Amino acid sequence: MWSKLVIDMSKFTVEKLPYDEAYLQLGGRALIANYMMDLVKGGKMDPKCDPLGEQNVLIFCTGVLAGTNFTTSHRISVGGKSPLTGTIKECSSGGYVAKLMAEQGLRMITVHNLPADDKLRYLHIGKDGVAELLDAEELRGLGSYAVVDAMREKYGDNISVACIGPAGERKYKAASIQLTEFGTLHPSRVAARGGIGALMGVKGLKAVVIEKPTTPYKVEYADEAMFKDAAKELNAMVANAAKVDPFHNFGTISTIEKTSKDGILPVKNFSGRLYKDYKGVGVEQFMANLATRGGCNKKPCQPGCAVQCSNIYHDKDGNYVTSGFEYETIALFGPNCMINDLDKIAQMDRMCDDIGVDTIEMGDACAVAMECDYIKWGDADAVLGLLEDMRNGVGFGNVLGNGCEAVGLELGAKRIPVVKHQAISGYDPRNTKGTGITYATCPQGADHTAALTMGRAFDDAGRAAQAYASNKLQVAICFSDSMMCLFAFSHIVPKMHLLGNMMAGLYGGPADITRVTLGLGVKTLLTERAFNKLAGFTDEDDKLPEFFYNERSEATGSKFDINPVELEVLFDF
Amino acid sequence: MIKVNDFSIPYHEGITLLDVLKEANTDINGPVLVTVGGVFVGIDSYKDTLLKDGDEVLTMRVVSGG
Repeated sequence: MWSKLVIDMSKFTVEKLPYDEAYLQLGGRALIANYMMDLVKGGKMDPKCDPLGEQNVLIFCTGVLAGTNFTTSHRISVGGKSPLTGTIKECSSGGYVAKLMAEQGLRMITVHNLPADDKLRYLHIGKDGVAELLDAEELRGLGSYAVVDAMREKYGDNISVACIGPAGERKYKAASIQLTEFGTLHPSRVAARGGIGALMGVKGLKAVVIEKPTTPYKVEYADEAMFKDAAKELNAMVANAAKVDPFHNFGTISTIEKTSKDGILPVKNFSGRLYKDYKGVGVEQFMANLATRGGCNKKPCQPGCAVQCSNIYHDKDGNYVTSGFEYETIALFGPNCMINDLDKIAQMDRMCDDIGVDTIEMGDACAVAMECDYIKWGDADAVLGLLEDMRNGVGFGNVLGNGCEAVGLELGAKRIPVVKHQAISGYDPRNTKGTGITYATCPQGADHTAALTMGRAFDDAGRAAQAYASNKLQVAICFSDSMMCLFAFSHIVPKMHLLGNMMAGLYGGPADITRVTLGLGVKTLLTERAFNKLAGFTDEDDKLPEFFYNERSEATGSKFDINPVELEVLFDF
Repeated sequence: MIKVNDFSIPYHEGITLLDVLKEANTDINGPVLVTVGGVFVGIDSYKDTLLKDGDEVLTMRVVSGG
């Protein structure tokens, strides 16, 4: 029988309780949405509450297929009400935390109320399953790498860690929660968006450390053969498709090979122009650096992953710099800031992971700062200097820590690329309009992972088709984020009905895909939208910044020409 | 033979990667990434990359982001 941990920071208690039967067939994003709405219905949370107040809850949960051998079933979802957007927030991350939660028999950890004192604590879950809050004052001010080192010193290498850096301690609205990768223990997987690290910080929780249990939890199946047959077929599909998947062969940096050609790559604060020098930050340079310096790609961030999109990046002297070096970071610190140096961008990635901040917010914020002449276009050292100020909590660093909108407002910027206060990621919405519709309408704020409509099926499609694509994909990603990594999901679509078989094999009932598409998909999206409505969001909030509607992309001549009234008609549940 | 994804193409001395990609009808002007024996080869090097008998070429199209 699965369990959950309920932590009350006002009393510093940790209770291990049976996991709710009502949530058994939920996980990840679906669980967070349903749990938060249940708190609202039970009068325990006002959706309009202060995200840094006592009513907000920090939630860590596994996916609904946790504990099984299905590839990528061990993503972790971290959620609550976002300190940045004020909306419901679910951050999906890879790493080893969900796997060890599952081995400990835990589906969910919830952190309630505000601490009764100013001390920092960490949650330790031992190899014997005992969970306790321990003093973390010695970790105060430490970056995530030092936190992990300290935990390895104490508990050995068979652990996983979720932690905040100084950004989360200071409750910056761009603060992230860093999670350790399988095998390397680098804290380079990230619950990044929406300031979720600030929520952990206001709870006085510096880290969650989980030891590999002596006796791992054994999942109970309703029909083990049905589950394993379906999982075997889907695992094989993913493994086979991964052989020619650019993410497997190169990593997500491969995205730049397309976005740079189609005007989708953000350049100079979303100016809409093409970036002639993209090869300096493209696959060829990246792979050459890996080959000559001792880094590598094809790394799984969680055990059993067949996609293996992660990487380890070294400097020119062969020293480790960062891992999980991704397209978004490269695009937004790179061409969007007119920086053409992969090594400098890698340092920025490392610093953001260590300080514990969202690289998308930081990249966009620095581009806005450059447009306002606060620092110069292309000045990588100035960016590194600002990040260092943020680490130390001095000067403009305190503004930067609150993200792109804060920087833009402070500097009087005219062009601030945010939706629902959250920075837009590495896709110019004028040249991928379905993605722009996602940015505008997604309950999470500007979130490309919620439905990225880029690719042959969508590129030349009309507005109605793009809206349709965003609508359908948003539903699909809701259930994908409740079960697996979306990079694996993209490969199983032709046999998606087998997800229904896996649900039946695990939990009983019919092998019916609608329990996934409707139960985990549509219902989750509608629940999130309902929460946001109660939180005070309206259709007026479902729009992009003005400049995307008024300025033509220099690369294509396109504007984002879908106005909010039209969006209401085109995009409908 | 030279393997290109699921196809096989006869080897002959002097055959280049560009020859093989054309033979396999690969749209090299799209966002396509190519490896030979697991090693990335940039588009500027296709015509200069001589292949050996038994080489494995993978072509992959960038279709999504992350």
